[in-house]
Amino acid sequence: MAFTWSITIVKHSGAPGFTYVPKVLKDVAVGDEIIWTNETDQPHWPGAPGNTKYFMANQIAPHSPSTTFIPSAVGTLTYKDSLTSGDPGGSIVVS
Amino acid sequence: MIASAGVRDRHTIGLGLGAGLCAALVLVFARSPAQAQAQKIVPCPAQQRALLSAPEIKSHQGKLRATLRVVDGIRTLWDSSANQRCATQYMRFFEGTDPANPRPWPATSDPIPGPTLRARVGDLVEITFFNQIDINHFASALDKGAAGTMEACDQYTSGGSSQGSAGNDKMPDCLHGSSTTNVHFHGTHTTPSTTGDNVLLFVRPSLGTKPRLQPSESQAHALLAPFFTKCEQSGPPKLWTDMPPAWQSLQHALLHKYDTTAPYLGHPGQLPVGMQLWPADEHQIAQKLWPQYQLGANPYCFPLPKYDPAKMRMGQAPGTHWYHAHKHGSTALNVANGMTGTFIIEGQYDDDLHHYYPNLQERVLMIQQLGTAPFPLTRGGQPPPPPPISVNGRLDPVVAMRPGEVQMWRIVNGAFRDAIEFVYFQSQSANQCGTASPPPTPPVQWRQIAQDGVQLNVANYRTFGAANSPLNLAPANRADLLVKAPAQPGNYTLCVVRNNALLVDPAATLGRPLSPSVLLTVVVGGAPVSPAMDFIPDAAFPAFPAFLKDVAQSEIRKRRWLVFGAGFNTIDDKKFMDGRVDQQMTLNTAEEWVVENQGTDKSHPFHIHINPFQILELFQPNAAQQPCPINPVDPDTFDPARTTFKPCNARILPAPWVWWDTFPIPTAHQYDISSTCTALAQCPPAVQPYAKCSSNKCSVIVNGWFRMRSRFVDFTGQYVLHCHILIHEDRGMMQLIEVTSDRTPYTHH
Repeated sequence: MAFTWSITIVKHSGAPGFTYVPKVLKDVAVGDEIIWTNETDQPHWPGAPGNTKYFMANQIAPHSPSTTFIPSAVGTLTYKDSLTSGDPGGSIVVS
Repeated sequence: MIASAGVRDRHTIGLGLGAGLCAALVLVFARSPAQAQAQKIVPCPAQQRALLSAPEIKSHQGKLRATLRVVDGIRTLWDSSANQRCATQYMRFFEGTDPANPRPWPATSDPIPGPTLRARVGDLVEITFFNQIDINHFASALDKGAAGTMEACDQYTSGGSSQGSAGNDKMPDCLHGSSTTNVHFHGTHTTPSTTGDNVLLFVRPSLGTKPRLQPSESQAHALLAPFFTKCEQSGPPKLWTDMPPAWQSLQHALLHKYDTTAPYLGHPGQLPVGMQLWPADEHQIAQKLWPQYQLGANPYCFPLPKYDPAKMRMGQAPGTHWYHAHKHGSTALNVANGMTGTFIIEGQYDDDLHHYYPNLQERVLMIQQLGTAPFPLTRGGQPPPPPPISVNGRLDPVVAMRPGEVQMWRIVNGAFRDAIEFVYFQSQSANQCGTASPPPTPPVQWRQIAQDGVQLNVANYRTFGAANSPLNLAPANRADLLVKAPAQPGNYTLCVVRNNALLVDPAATLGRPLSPSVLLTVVVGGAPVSPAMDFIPDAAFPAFPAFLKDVAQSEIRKRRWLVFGAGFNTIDDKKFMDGRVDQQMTLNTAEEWVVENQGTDKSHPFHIHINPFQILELFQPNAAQQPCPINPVDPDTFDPARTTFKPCNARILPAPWVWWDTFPIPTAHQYDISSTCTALAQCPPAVQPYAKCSSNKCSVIVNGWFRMRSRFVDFTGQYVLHCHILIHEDRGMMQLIEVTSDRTPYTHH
């Protein structure tokens, strides 16, 4: 049976003004479900390099959750906010 | 509350950010990237810990008053392997309090069920229900709006390419809106309308964040107080305008606030009119209908009617009932999250039992299959291993008994998917449930005394309730058992078989019952009971209520045939549709239905709200021995809808018949008739409507079915029947039905 995992986008004093908790999401298995929760006052859109819609079809409104992303293979997935330049991003380790 | 610590922290931080710059700086650094994630892999909880009991809320002076909340918090869950991968997870669940004696909800990470409600026949239920889910902890949580599409089915992305709703389902028969909910009082015989057992309501999550939720509990309690007073005097309301004006105004304001601030396609405040809630409610109110959308809170007020032949055709049956979330599109997920609780309705049945057993100890056992993401199959994944079975939030819990003691076990199968067959107890020293058949003399014995919250007739206690008779609890079934411990102290294991059907077509590729596994352990110890206890004798068995007499042939007004599909989402080849009434019955009439199953690998558990039914006849094509021959090229031997159908008395169950509110429809069997025909045109004309032919082979699927009778009495209104494999219900295997008045309107113009 799959588990559900959350990545929270929270305000942060350093650039770019927000960060991800956890920054590295571990313990995820293929078939688990992942959502991002945007707790900031700005929209965000976690996307893969070169593919904004890799994780979700639409941006996440402020104070809202994303739709569900389900990893389909083992590996490390990295993401950055497609709406904000300079976001160091985060990663998901699927094992 | 430890279980919700993560949630509380988050809300506190949110408030701090709004309080001022200084506080904001402190709190921003407090919420550093190094902070541990709330959900994480953790050691699995030990098994064979003591059985937990959910807190109980009892009625007083004829009124069951309760505050019931659906909240979310962190709880510990196990993977299907039960002891290899466990994690803390955000889950949505019920908690509750007795307003007259408020106590904090237990601080535990065990996923215990909601409070056990205990009332008595004749009582009035007065529950103030709050939806306090933090939608930010769950994906696609709202029925409209947050999903960002008019369709609003749950959206998912996988592997960067596939996006869409689960299984390409369409509204309203898709997974959606899981943070919107309501409460179904399963087993109650009461009004299905307004503030009764109304599963057509959508109670939306409160606005804002704790502790500043809108509506607040104090506000709701204050505004609803006059409503409950009026309900005590004159019963449930008929119209929305019967509600206190201040409550009407508050709901209007909150729904309007949602409509003007909810996000759409990632942008707040741009919700299209077609997705707004208040216009839908306003339209319904104008039509003198009860508004569908309630925001944050909803009052439930309804009677548990005591049988009075001068006023009613039936009464509420005393027994073990339950309540659970029942919003179409999220019933399965919310029940999987644990949004269930036991509802005990006492009556003469209990008085008689306790007269015979002055010190009878009761155990309430809520069986659950818990999970936060239990449907990978709907998203293109492989068939998932079934989630493990827990009892009151623990795997293989321990029930303590004294040597020779008899206890009453009130068992609810609150699993969203699996049936549970109780097969035998064995000594724990033996291989754990490894034997295929019960030991000759089970060390712990049981007798069944009630089914689905309705006591057995003493005649059925002798047969159906004979000692150690295997019982299969489909999802939603309940059973009251008298369980007798042996004189010998020791540990004894209850072995059960999980299944979607006990009898499956041998040719089916899925659906085999699993091997026996452990449900719980009885530990017998301490001083033997004195005086000795034994199963209640026939002469002392609880008196059978007059209103539960068999539905006689002479009462039958109409006959119907329903066919549940081979898949997961149709009844009579149709999915559920908003507003379409599929069955209409006349108040205070009785009917006889044949309910068929086209599936060869699963027994869809048929459930109908408000009125129980009796099973008269079973047709099981996959039974090892047929009481009457089935000829697949003679439909008169298997299709009861044919006027030329040949009845088979050997399949008719002896009266008095057991009452049920959920019954698994026997599976179908596929017969090869290639020896008769190899193309449809060659088959006998009578068989052609049943035959399927391809590649020079023909077969006939003979449906399994049962025949039942029910009385549609005392309450008009719209409610539902559906499959209680709840993912099937969410995906369309449900019908809206209506009981209409038998009176002719008469006015002069």
